[in-house]
Amino acid sequence: MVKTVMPIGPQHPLLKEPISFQLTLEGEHVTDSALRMGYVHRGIERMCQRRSYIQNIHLVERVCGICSHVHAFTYCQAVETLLDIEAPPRAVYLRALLCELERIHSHLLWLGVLGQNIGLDTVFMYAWRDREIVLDVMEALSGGRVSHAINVIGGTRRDITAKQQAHVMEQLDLLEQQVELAYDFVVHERTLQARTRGIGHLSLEQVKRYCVVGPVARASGLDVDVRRDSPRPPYDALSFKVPVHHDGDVWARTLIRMEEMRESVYLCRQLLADLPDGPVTTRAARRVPAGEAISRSEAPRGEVFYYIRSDGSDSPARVKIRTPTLTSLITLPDQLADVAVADISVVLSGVDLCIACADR
Amino acid sequence: MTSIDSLSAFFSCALGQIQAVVAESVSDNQEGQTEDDAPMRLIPHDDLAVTVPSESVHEIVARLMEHCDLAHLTTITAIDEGETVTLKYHFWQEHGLTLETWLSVDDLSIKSIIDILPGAAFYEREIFGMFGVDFVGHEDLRPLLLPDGWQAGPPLRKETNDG
Repeated sequence: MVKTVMPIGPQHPLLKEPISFQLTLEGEHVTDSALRMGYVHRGIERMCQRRSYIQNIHLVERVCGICSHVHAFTYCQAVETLLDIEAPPRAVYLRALLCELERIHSHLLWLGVLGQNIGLDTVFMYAWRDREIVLDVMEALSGGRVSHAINVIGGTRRDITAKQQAHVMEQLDLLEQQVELAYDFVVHERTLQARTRGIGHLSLEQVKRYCVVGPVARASGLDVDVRRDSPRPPYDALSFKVPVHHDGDVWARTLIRMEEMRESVYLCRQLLADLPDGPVTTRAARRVPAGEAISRSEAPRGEVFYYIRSDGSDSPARVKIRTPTLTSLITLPDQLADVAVADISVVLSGVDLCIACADR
Repeated sequence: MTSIDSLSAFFSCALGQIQAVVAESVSDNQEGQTEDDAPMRLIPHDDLAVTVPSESVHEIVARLMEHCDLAHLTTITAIDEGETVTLKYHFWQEHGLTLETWLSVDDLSIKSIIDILPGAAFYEREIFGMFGVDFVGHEDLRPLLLPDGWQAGPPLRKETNDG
């Protein structure tokens, strides 16, 4: 059969961020694929070496436009390790609260994108409507809907009042109701199942070989979560389940994310209920001593990794950022092998790509 | 913060394999070398760093995967030290294990590990583009993030960009 090469991207209607694919087609099926990235490479790792430790908080928050808080938080955690200080318990809880809210926000956004890409606009409308609840809550807590700028070295910039705490609790009830509604809808929606079952399959063996993290790994049966496996406060004191499925297709990834939202609502409740009293910042020295630190945390898409080396000067000597999307991108040629043209969008949506994260 | 002793105990299998490979390579190449244990230190908060010779990295990774079920490579970090480029292979399994090695800037080449761990492919490509390190055996070694036709040299090298 005649082979056709179909270029997709770097600008295309499917994903909102630039990445390019060269797909070789035989009839309706993909036989080969190659991807080209780097279109939104901003050189953030290098920029970090030119800025002070404090300026870098705002820079790394802009690595990703969806999981912005988790980057700033993981970075601050690494700098605090270098300074040998710990954020006060109340700040640790507030940071985790933002992390979990961000997870719900990211998964709802993803659900909407999946719905839109498979032509199910109803899902898109509902998911993005409910995402507004989370964004409003995050705005109330931090002052920003997307870039929260709530982290400082040694804690958080803002505290929350008892009134805000009660407001968030109230909104969590509403959010839980909407998350349950979405779960119910997704599980029983036959179109969604028909489009996603068996598509973009990755075996457990494959996710291990490619060192995949996050929901994509958990949907293929790899039971891994930084929050549980390498617990740092407050996660060592909280109870939560890590959903794992074994089908390894886009449907399994959908279920994982739906269940994770539920868990995140529970986690938010626990965090608010157990919120310790006390200050939200601890005194941090301006001068960072020479040394190295590694910090990991579980972003909505999986393990985020920061390595920082200090030479004792005002700026870090090296900041290395590994974002979870990079691990999913590498699996795409395998996932795209032999899928029909109409299912390409399902595969690309299923992994929840964040290209700005991957390009840095 | 985790202590170096508890991390050594946790990674006893991995450390055993690393020492075995390092001891073999030392007895192969050098006479009179008495120090045959790979030096260890802690990278806070939770990583054990072990310095290994660059020729042994491939063999060590293969053994960690085969004997210790340690196959999650978080990423590879490269740092330009001036005369050398340091590579850090960050593995993770509840705790972190970092294999550190260094290459002289005159001979920036190391055996690629993608034949045993394909997940390293993008990390090796990124370091090739940013630091000019040649990963021997990587059949698709193109810069990952640089624009087509980039001529200015590896951007994260000090000689390209004064640090």
